[in-house]
Amino acid sequence: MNNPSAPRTDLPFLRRRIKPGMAQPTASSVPASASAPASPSLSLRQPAPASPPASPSLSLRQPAATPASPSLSLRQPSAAPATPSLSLRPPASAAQPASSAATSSTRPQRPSGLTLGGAAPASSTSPRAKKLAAQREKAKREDHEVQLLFPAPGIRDIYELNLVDRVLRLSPLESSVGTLVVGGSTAVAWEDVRRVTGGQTVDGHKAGTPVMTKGNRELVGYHGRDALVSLRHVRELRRAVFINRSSSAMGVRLFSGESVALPPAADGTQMVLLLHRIGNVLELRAEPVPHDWSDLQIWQEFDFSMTHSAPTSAYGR
Amino acid sequence: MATLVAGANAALTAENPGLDQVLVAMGWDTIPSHGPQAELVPFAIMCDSDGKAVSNDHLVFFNQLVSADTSVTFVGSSDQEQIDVDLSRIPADISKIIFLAYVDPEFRGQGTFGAVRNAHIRVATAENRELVRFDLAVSQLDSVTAMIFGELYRHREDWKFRALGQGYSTGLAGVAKDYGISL
Repeated sequence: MNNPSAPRTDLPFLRRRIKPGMAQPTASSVPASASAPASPSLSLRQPAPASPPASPSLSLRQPAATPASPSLSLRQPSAAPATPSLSLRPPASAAQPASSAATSSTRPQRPSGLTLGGAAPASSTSPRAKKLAAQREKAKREDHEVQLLFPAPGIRDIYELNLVDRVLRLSPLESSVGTLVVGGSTAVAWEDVRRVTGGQTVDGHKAGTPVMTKGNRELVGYHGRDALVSLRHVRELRRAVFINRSSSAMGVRLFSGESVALPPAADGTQMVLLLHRIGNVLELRAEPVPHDWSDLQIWQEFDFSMTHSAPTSAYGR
Repeated sequence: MATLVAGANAALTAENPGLDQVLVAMGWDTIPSHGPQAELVPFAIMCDSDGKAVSNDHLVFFNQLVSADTSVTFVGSSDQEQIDVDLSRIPADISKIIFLAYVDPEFRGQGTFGAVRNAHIRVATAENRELVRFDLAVSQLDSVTAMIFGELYRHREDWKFRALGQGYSTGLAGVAKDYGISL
């Protein structure tokens, strides 16, 4: 019988899950007033930089003394100005933005550490504040989604994805810069977040529906002999599968120059590369399938169902 | 509203008491094309006192929407991209926040800022009342593949904004090298 008070810590590959009703308060669910921040203070009262900027300065207030650097003051001076001046200070009624009611002194204290999706200020009821809160909530969900994943090496940690090292995970930055280049593949199939699915071979045969990005490039497709994924639009991608029917290895390369290989078919088994986006990270996984399987069987195995544009003639009214 | 020139700076919090949240918006127009075109990516880097990125968790862009401390949030809007900065939440070890755009290093032809007809960065209040604006000079940018638009920085007890317009011909890789980002 399991003893919930004594979790096994000697099995790093097992993750302990706790029923929601029994869950301990997390950092984000702890009442703000009860959490004393351990991190450095959020006070903006910082010492002056060692070397103040010497560039031309547009100060919006009357300087206390003549600045050392050339400065354009746009504030109404207290004395009669010698030259016309423009005040950028807002009217007294507008000087305090709505959100300023929640100053650092009145804002509930937040826990230290990595806490994505902090609560919006109490005064934030504007559409913009709601949008901000939604964005933070989205990031929080993504972060939670990634945190639930089992640990996986990065692309710098392994040279080859194989039956031993089956999976690696890219960082958010690696997952989003430039192009992910897969060399040595003979076919690719993709599925975007709207479940638009298509496929292409290195020889130019196509099935399903291509996904075009705002940059007028295919989200996934071939360029010469290389299969490419446009990482600028990685958030449109749900997953892709790369098939290699050649006798040489398949290789994945990132903008940073980091790469990883997948072995060619051997002993009746071929390795396909599955690319999944989970939250804001890409996961690369090697999956063994029988060598004699056709591309269609591989699509079926991984539940890729090609989408097609219905012809106008099929429109019955 | 004040318009800055490259290198000029403007006091933000000193002149706007109670200003604890600003919106930094970057926008641009590119020459339209039916073919593959340069794609600009906005990016914010939170730097320490040495001017280096604190960590990769302190980058804010389309695939990392919120900084680790939640003080900087990526928000899309009518400008191409907007980044919300909650000044009161910025940890004390952050000395400045760099705002830049790079041309995505796309394998099928990257492009440059030469395709950009105009570009700007502006700082506004949370209610989108514009405080300062910087219109970048966009001539002779055919070799530029990354551009630092401006920076928010601490100055004594206050926050200021400096217009920069500093171009890189080495793209994001050059920026990463200068700011200690691990690509």
